[in-house]
Amino acid sequence: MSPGKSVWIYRVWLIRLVFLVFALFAWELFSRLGFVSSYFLPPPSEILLALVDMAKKDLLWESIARSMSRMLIGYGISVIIGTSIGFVLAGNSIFKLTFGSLVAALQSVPSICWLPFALLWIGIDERAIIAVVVLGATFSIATATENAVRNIPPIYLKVGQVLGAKGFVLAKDILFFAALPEWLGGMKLGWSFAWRSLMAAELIRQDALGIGRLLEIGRAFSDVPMMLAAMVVILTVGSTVDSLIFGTLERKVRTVYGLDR
Amino acid sequence: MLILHIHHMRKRTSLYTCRNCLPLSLFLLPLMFATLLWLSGCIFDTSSQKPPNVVRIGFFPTITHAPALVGTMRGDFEKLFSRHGVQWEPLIFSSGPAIIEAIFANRVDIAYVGPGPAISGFVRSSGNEIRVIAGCSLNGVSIVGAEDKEGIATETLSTKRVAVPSIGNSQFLSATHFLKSLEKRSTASRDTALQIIPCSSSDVELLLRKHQVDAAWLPEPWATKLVHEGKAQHIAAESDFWPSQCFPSAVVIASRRFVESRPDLVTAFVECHAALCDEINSYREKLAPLITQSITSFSHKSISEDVVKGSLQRTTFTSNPHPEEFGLFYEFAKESGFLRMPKTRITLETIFVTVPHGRLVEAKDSYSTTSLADTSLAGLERSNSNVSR
Repeated sequence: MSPGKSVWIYRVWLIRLVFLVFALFAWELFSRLGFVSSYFLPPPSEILLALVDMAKKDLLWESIARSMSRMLIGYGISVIIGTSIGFVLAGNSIFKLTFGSLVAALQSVPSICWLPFALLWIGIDERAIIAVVVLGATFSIATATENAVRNIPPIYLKVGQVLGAKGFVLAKDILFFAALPEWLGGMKLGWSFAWRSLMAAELIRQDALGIGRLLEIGRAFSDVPMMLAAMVVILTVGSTVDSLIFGTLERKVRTVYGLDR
Repeated sequence: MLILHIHHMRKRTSLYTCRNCLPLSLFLLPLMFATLLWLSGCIFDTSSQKPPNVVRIGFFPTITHAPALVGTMRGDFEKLFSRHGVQWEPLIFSSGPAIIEAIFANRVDIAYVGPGPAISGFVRSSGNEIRVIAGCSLNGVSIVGAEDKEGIATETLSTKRVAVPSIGNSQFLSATHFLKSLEKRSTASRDTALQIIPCSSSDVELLLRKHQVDAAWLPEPWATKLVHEGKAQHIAAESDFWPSQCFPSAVVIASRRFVESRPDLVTAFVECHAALCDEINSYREKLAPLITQSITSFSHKSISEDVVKGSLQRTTFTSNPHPEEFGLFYEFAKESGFLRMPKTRITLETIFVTVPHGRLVEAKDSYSTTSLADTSLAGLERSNSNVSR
């Protein structure tokens, strides 16, 4: 990385920070000066207080822990199922003709629409929410995996075969690495689908304590600062995972593949 | 921003790297943000939205709000407001928090709501927005259990999984309080712990059938509906848990703005409401078809007349808000740990507004005991003098 580039990144972050501080300050001032009542649009300081209060009561930590565990289980399952479906779809044309059309159709259903059925068939517990998360992410991961495998230039496979790779070795050493960058994109997409599904499910399901539920708890007690604090948590957790985990992974893969320009 | 943009189009440089523009953009961005906020202030500005001379009344299509249903369907409210030369508009809601939000946003003037949301709204607005102008219903909340299981004794409820309609609502608050104190009191060894599970009233049936909950703490008409359809059995009434055997399950609230600007309308409305309460108490059977019809037309869900009759039998209507019991909900809410107190000190007494002619002061029904009167009513009268100033 050239020194010029690092200065540039530094400056971008500085501008962002200054903007954020100014914006929050303007918001604080706007609320404090009484343009709107503080329980209608509370100033950032009150949101911070609500956040601190939630953290003190362990409500925040328990919610984050529960939501993240649901995400990890649900997303883990959908990665396994989605990737398998994607590989099979890419490799088997009969499967693609029959099951493939179903996957495309199912992908168009917002997973939260499955919630009533999940409740009916699975029951009112954790598994129903996890099912919604799985349904939210699986099909997009499957489609992305299928495309990733299909888009591998045939020359790679031919070279591999000429060099004597076949069967498992071909899949492990060539298919996997050739499909990786695009597959990772699908994984990221799957994560954001899963995250949205989880938030929707937690908003609706009253018994499921989680980050999405914090918003509704705030609402139940007419606590607008707490509602906004919940939004801050949703935003922070969502974007942290997005940029920190997937952003880093993608950058690594791009560097390794020589795609980073 | 446009000037900046054109400037950079000409110079073909990035906005980030242009030294000349950095201070300008740092200045412009907050300015833009402030403008945005100002614009949103215009949107949020709640004072100018109200069309002149329209009283907006919010309620749910449910049994405990029956006076509103009758008053709307039969035209009592229409007559009342036209006599005062104003129009009125009914607004149907399905949850207490939504009504409180509507009052905060100045989209509702008078509303029927449970004590839980009324107290949350009062506390969270630092006592500024919500006023209780009358009581509406007493009792009308039952605890039901699964039909195919053997009956549950009230004392053992503290070891069960109990469903409540929604977190933060009145049933949640009282179920949490009473079952937790029952749990503390009982010394018997327990193999299961008390679980209070908030879930929507319509899910309760499924939960009971799948034995994912043992009991449900439900308001009317849900409790009677489940029992009537043979899907649940009656265990107890919530009033059994209350020291005075009664508690407010709905009250009539008004925004402070409305109380202060139109005390005459508030007085007239409370009188009309009180007359409706008395009438429903006396003629439950006769009014049941009307109430059934209004629930069906407002909620778009059919309900049988027998269920409505049964539910009305379990509910008493009164314009007395029963301040003492109402105050207990405030204690329950604090106890639950979810209600955050504002920085300014508030006293719950100021939530009550007495209307002239002593409707509130006059203890009309058999439930109001003399012990209730002195302390809380002193508070009422004080708050009345506050309002009239």
